[in-house]
Amino acid sequence: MKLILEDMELAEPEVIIRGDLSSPEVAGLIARIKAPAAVRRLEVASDGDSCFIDCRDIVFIASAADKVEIYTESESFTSRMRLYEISSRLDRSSFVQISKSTIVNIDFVKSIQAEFSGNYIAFLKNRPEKLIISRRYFKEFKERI
Amino acid sequence: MNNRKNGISPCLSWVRTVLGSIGTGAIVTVIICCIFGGYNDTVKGFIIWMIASILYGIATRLIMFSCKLSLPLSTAIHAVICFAVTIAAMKLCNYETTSLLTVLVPFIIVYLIIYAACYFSWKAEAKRANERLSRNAKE
Repeated sequence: MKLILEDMELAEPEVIIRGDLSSPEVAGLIARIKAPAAVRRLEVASDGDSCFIDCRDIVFIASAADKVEIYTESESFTSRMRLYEISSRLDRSSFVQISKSTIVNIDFVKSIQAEFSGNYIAFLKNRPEKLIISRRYFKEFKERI
Repeated sequence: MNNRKNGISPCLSWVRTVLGSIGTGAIVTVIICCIFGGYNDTVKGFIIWMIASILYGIATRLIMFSCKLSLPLSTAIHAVICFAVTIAAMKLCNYETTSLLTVLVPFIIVYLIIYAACYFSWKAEAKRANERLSRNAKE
């Protein structure tokens, strides 16, 4: 990809993309430019108390029944937001949804293993849990790492 | 240079072209045979297996491409449906078979081979992903 930068005075920055707009590479680039800025901290609850955690410390997020749990390396928290709401606020370059109920921080994925069922198991750094990467979500996971 | 158009590799694009041509050719063949040779057992067999192929394709699209069922279960259901279509087509074509086992055993073997091939391709995907994860961890 060629990057050309032109220093000029304009009312607002202008981004022009030339090339095959249907290619996945360009489509991904356009999506990232259009995506809203990710938040750096997320409001969570721990033992009834509200606090903020740095998104970079989040290992994975899992929803079950009617609650969403957020896991860091040493703690777990709950959130009042739904999984899709949290997903829209996270940095898409670091977080990817791997199943209907789980979002993982790619930086904390140590390795993956193929299962006979067509799904994959993700092993995490500094957490004992093994997460299931559904075959439906594996393509996106593969593209993000 | 990006060799992919619309996210499809040139190789896969050519495979699609060839398969599409075979499908179109099959229909044209049936029509030509009927016009010049008349409707006979050969044409009847051709039409029956063409319809069976369409049903295999529909079963694949509805069952295998659906992610609601687990893959082993989808595969089993797909195998049962395709086996039923195959037996029906054989009956309509008046093929002589001593027992269903002569069809069932090769069917099971083919499905096992395809599933095993898929499993090894998933393992290869996992290996490639792990290499990228290791590279990312080092950076």
